[in-house]
Amino acid sequence: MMSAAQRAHNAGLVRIGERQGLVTYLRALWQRREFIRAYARAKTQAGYRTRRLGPLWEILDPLTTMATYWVLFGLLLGARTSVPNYLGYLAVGVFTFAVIRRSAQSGARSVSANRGLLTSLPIPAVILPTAAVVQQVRAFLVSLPVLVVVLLLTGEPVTWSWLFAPLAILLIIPFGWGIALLLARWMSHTPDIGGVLPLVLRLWGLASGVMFPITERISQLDLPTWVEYVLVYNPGAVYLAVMRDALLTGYTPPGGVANWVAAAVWSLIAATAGVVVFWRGEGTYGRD
Amino acid sequence: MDATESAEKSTLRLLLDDVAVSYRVFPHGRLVPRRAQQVEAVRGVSMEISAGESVGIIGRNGAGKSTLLRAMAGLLPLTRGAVYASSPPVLLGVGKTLVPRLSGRENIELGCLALGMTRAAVRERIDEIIDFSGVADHIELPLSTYSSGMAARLKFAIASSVDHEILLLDEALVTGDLDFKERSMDRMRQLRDRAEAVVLVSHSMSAIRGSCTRVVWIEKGRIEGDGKPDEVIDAYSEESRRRRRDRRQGHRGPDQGPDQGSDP
Repeated sequence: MMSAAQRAHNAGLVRIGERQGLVTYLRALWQRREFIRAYARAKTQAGYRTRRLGPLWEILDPLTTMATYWVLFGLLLGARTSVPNYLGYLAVGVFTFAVIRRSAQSGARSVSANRGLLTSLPIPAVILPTAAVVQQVRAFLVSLPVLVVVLLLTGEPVTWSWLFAPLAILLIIPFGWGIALLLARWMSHTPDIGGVLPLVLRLWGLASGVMFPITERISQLDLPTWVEYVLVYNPGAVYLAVMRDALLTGYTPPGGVANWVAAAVWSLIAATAGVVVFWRGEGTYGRD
Repeated sequence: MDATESAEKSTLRLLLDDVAVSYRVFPHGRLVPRRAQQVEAVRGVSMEISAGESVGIIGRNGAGKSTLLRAMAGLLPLTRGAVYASSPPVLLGVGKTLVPRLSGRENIELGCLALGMTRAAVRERIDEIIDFSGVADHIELPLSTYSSGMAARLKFAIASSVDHEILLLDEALVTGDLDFKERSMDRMRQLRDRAEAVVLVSHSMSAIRGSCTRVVWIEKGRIEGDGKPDEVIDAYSEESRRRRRDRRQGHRGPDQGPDQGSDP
């Protein structure tokens, strides 16, 4: 008696729902790029439709965050004197970290919140976190002119080093994608993560120096050096550092050129780990 | 390769080998639930479907018919067993709608792209699909504003716009007014004629008798009967009658017979 698998093979049948090889998997993702683009755009439009001010929120969101941080940290805690152009420092921080924070948050939700889509259309699950990141990158690009205006208004000159900003963004995107994939898999079987994620991400932003140069404060506390290393070379701090390095003249982030190396390394690690981990979970995403 | 093997290659389209599906549920009523519970919906189904076969699946609500259909399409992770097919089976089902917050038009675009159409093909055919769906007046509104009948029609219009070699149909999706019912039955017959193998889940015995060459009866996630439509349907009806009689006499708890409604 031939086994069922053997019979299927002899009849030229292929196994349905079986995990493909990693290369085939990524190729399938690339073949669905039209779907990803359409999905990300439609999601963005849908988000606009639910709010009266629609796309204006893409600008209002970072601006209100900046205003809050400026009052809290700049004014009340006196951080505005810690760097020459505090408003510019804050603007780059808020706009840049928003890409990471929002990619992580909507990527994490993407699989668990769209189970209906996964169980009704023949699409690999990796499309969902990927589309979530594409959506956030689009949002960032829409709000980018505002960042430029803020920088110019606060007196930052346009320099050749601004040309490094697109490179920094290109390093941030794969990092955000990797984080989105990791969190999406994690949250698909432990939905409770959704409860703590927003808080964790805000704290990460604080520790990475979104609001003020935290390492300068920490160094006064006489902590072990490894704490300082963690603070300076954690991915959040590194991506903020390279953006500020490119866009601000009066502020040099700690770490120097090493930040660019660290930024590339973190991108590579996060994207690779994210893809492999998510791929290994393929086939479990529809269930619960 | 010998003669039997090559003969088999030309006919076998779908092979289910001991397929089981279970859902994970967190029990309520505890502050800290101890562990997730497994609810078995399909418990070891094996069958083979060849080219030209049209298989009807019958059974009571909650017997696991729809779950089995989705497992065949590879849309559900299996807890055991495997599904083999000559090409990816496509499911036309009700289930959850696509993306509730997006408009009908956006859902059609996304659905068609996911089924493998190119952007150009979608642009070319979208008016025809909207027209067929019969929800043209609401096409720019979010899907969440649609009635369940309208959403089912839209989904049917999307899914049936592409030809498939193995077609899985959930008949409950043929809802709506008489006009749409007729048009969609027509469309389904066309699809069935073009598809090589068809699996149809239905509560309508007349629809099954009229269109299937074979019937599989599912009971509590297992195959209870498999054979010629008349034989299996007769056995199923007899069982349902027996159940109804028992219930009237109060021998059993609340139970459901076959009905014309849709699966949950």
